[in-house]
Amino acid sequence: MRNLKGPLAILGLLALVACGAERIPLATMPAVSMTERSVAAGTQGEEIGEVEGIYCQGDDPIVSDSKNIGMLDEAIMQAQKQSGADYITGAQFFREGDCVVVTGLGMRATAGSQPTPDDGVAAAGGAQ
Amino acid sequence: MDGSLDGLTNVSHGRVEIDVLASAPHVGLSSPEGDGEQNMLQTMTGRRFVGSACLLIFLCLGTGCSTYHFAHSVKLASYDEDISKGKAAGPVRGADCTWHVMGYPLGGEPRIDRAMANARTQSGEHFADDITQETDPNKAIRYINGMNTSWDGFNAVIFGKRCLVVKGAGYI
Repeated sequence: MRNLKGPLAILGLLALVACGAERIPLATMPAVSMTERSVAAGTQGEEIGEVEGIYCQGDDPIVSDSKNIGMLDEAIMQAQKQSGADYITGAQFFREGDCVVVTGLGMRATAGSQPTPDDGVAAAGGAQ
Repeated sequence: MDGSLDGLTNVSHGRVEIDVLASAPHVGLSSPEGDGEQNMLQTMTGRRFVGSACLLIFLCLGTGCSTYHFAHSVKLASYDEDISKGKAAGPVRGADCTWHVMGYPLGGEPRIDRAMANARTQSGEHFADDITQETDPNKAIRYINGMNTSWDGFNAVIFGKRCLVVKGAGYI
């Protein structure tokens, strides 16, 4: 039995590493943003390249309060903060261990496509 | 693990490590000077224990515990690349559910993408293996503002239902 401990430990470690590294798709959204609610009609954004944001449990949140943390919210905000994008198109969300990753094309609202002011409609049900 | 994130995991931000045993005197070592001193020692031990417990509670309250959701308040989540300002369609809600029998799930875990798809069509709750309904393009929601997710359902021991619910303000 003692002879099996070494190989079992290595197998367990490999399984842990394999599980931790696996990217599980969560959702795909054509456009997401944590700073804009919409843009003015008939306008197009300026592409600023591929962006990626990651948020792991235990990291300091950027937009959420410390009690209720939205993993998607934080990943999106981090990608926007790093790239300076106003919104992200073709956003793909993955789960990677205790982290949520978002990848997509960063877009910046140009002079002709200023974001519209907040619509003032409260989200249904409020924040959880 | 897919879909099991929302609100299930509580992790404390600050790491509180207090060695209560190390801060308390050794109770087993009685003093040879008599009962009075021993009583005083026991009182001090009790006070230190209560003090340590209070400190632990205050530190726990101070650091707090966090609840992780899929989405707490995503400002814009769109079903379309066109995110120009649309017409308000009011609150939208969609859910993806899984039944449990004797603790065993009938199908996969609820998924956020399916819950979002149901929120778009306003088709209520769907179960893991349901066939998705066709979407009427004139009625379909184009984007959601203030999207949040939560868990819903019940557990009646023999059977139960677990749903991932997506809510927000819809725009056509």
